[in-house]
Amino acid sequence: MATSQSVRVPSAAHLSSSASAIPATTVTSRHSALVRVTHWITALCFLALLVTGVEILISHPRFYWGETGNVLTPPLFKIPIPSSRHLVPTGYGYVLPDQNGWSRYLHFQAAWVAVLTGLLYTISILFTGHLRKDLLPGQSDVSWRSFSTTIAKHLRFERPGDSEAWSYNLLQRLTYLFVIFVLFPLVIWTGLAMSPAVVSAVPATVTLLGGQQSARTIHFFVSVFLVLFLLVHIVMVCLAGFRSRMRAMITGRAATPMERT
Amino acid sequence: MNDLSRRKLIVSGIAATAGVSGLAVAARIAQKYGLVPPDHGGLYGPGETLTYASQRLLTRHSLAREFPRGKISHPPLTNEMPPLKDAFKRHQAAEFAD
Repeated sequence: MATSQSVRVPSAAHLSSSASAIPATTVTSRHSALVRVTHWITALCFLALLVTGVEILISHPRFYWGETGNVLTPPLFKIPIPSSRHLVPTGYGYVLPDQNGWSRYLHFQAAWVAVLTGLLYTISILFTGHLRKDLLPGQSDVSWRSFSTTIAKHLRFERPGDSEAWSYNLLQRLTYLFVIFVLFPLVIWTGLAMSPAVVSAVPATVTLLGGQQSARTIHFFVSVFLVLFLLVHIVMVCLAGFRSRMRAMITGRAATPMERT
Repeated sequence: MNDLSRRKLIVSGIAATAGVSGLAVAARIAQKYGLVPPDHGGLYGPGETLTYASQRLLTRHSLAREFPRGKISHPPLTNEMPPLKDAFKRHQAAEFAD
């Protein structure tokens, strides 16, 4: 920890001037070891949660609002796919193979790992300054002007400059903050609200959401938002330079201006 | 990259020992209070154990949720039955003679 801190290049002040100020010979770390390790553990867990989540969804691809929901109650909406249970009316004369057993086990196990990793990450970014320096927008960034400039740059599909290999722009910061402090807590909450054990201990987890079926529906939509984030995240990594960004997140070494791919 | 210093070696050694013994103690305590599920082994054992143990701890003093009478649904739902086994079907066809 101590060594990776000392070689880290401070982002905001130093870098906004010019990226060529970074000497190409210095060993610099774009992402701390903690960020890299928690990033890949979370990525792995998210993949497991997504695949198993889809498998669990297939067993009943209908969504409801409120407390009650079953094949006899009118659905809020249906996902137009066949089901893995033959009693669920889907309109398809086909029953998919049921993968619920291992899916539920893996969904919970991956959720545990993701939540514990997330806790470690969230607590440590408060103390390492990662939250304050790299995620919270700087004083100069909080204005409509810089906001519209960043959006305009994105709309023109401008490739990010060298300085952006070292720090996050305003849109990135707001997106990461939204995912970390809104989407992840919400998906955990709605997931727990579906658990009869948790709900019996703390009934407010489900009553605040309007019922168990509402919790399930919100869980689904938050997952959709998380998948959208993942897709945009991957596209942006490719646009910004797949090799250099992947190297920065795996080895911690960032691309110096000369070696940018 | 950087060579391992003696201080780092000692600190990580102590941390590893503390971690392992902490886990062992936690396992003994969990065993004593019935927090280890029967299916604690295997690939999904760790997750299952965490879920089982935290549910037991959470619901130590809690009861199931209660609903008002008005919440009883008019068309009662019978849960899906698992597909009948071939052996059962044979017995059923023979009207459970043997």
